[in-house]
Amino acid sequence: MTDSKVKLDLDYVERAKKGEFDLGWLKDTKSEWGTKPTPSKIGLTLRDISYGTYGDVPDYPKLRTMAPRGADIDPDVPDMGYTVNSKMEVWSDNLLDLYEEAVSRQWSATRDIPWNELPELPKDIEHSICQLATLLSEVEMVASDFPAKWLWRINHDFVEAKMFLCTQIMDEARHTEVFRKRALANGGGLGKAKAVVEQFLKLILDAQSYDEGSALMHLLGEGVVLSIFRAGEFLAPSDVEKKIFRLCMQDEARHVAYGTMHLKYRLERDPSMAEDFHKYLDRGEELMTVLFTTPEVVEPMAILAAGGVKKAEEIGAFAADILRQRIVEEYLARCDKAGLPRRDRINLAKALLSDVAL
Amino acid sequence: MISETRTQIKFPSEEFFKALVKAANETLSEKSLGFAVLKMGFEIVGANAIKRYVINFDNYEVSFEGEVESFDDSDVEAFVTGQLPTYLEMFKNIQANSKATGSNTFNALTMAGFPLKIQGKDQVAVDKVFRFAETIQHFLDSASSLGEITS
Repeated sequence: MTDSKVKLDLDYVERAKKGEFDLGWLKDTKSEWGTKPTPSKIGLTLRDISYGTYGDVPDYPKLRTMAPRGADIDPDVPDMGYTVNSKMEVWSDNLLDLYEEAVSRQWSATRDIPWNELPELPKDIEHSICQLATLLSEVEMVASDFPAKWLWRINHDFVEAKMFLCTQIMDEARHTEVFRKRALANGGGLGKAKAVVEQFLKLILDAQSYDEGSALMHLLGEGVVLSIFRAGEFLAPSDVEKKIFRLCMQDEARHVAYGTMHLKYRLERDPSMAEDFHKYLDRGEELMTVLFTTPEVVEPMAILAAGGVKKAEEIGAFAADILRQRIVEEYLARCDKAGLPRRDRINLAKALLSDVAL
Repeated sequence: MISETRTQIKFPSEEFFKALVKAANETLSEKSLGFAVLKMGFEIVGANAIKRYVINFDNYEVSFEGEVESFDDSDVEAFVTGQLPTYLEMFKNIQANSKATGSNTFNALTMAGFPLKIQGKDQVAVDKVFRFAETIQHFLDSASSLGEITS
């Protein structure tokens, strides 16, 4: 089956066999030529090759094609039908650097975690870490699914943004993997998967725009998860979990850095979008409130902090309180940086804000 | 039986940070952790003085930039601050175990904002510390190869 616009020149096969080449591409390519960038200390980076016209990322590309930005493009390329065609919908000033950092800092959940050093743990501690691992294995994959859902809709002139999202997809697949492995590695198993958690994930996947999903996921959701990773490292019952959480927090912090600076980039160029973003986060924060009151989320942390169920029941969920404070304060600080201050607008129950510095 | 005595190295001091950087570079150059780009400060609050030192994570190497009076006039992106005894306890743990364990990891000590606290120009700068969490821990763990750390 052939596209009616594609003209087949079957005689070319015979001419080429005789060495009668076309060579139009060799003699007459209309693109920037002849520059040799100097590789950085770490190698040839995206910034190094973003010179001249190759570094010009248009705000509104003229074409919707997979042709590499800066190439000499046929006039009759098909329309790929991208729906995300403005740079400010996906771009951030730290994108190129975050991509290189992501590629450089990849790790393996199979090889880089010292699984054979997992100690036998008291039953309630093992169960708590398994419940936490279940939650994390559940939520992490949405941060692969969401970028994947939008990836092919994004104009290829923003290829660096797409490449960064590909690193996120790989990062989150690895997080899903490492937490599933942890739950199954030490005599425990997978725990409960709660509807309220699924509701937050559905909110992200059902987002009507990349803007909406990115705000909910990169800024809100992944900010929460980053804090959970930090708390996980703090509360980890062994060096094995500490390593898992430290490696995961590196990846998550990259995604949050993109999300925060992407929102900043967006709002600097289109401040009229601010109220839309506020509304997305109003809804996201409403669901976040429920997470803070879900036993399967709060209690494993409390038990890990106290060193057991009995002690946790004596001292209460102070660890969860500290975590909640960090989550809210750091999230609000990111919103400030992004140019979307939410201190007067945060949609969490008052009881959850009484010990937070607004 | 001959007992092995470690040489002593004073903390905080330029000598300490230079030695720590040298020890860390011996393994960071293996590149297994990936590159890190962060100019970071360490603020140590003692009984009589506050000392501040600047470390530069420059791709696959780390370098000591010097002691400063204030981070305000420097291009430090984020710094960690805390009392001298906390730092000493952390390094004691590292030297006893060849790496930080339990509540003595850098993240554990900074998680709640005490006993160590990370501060930065803004939250994105603070988050950058988390982006390089394993490298920073590796850097601090390099103290295991130094002489006995004393105040």
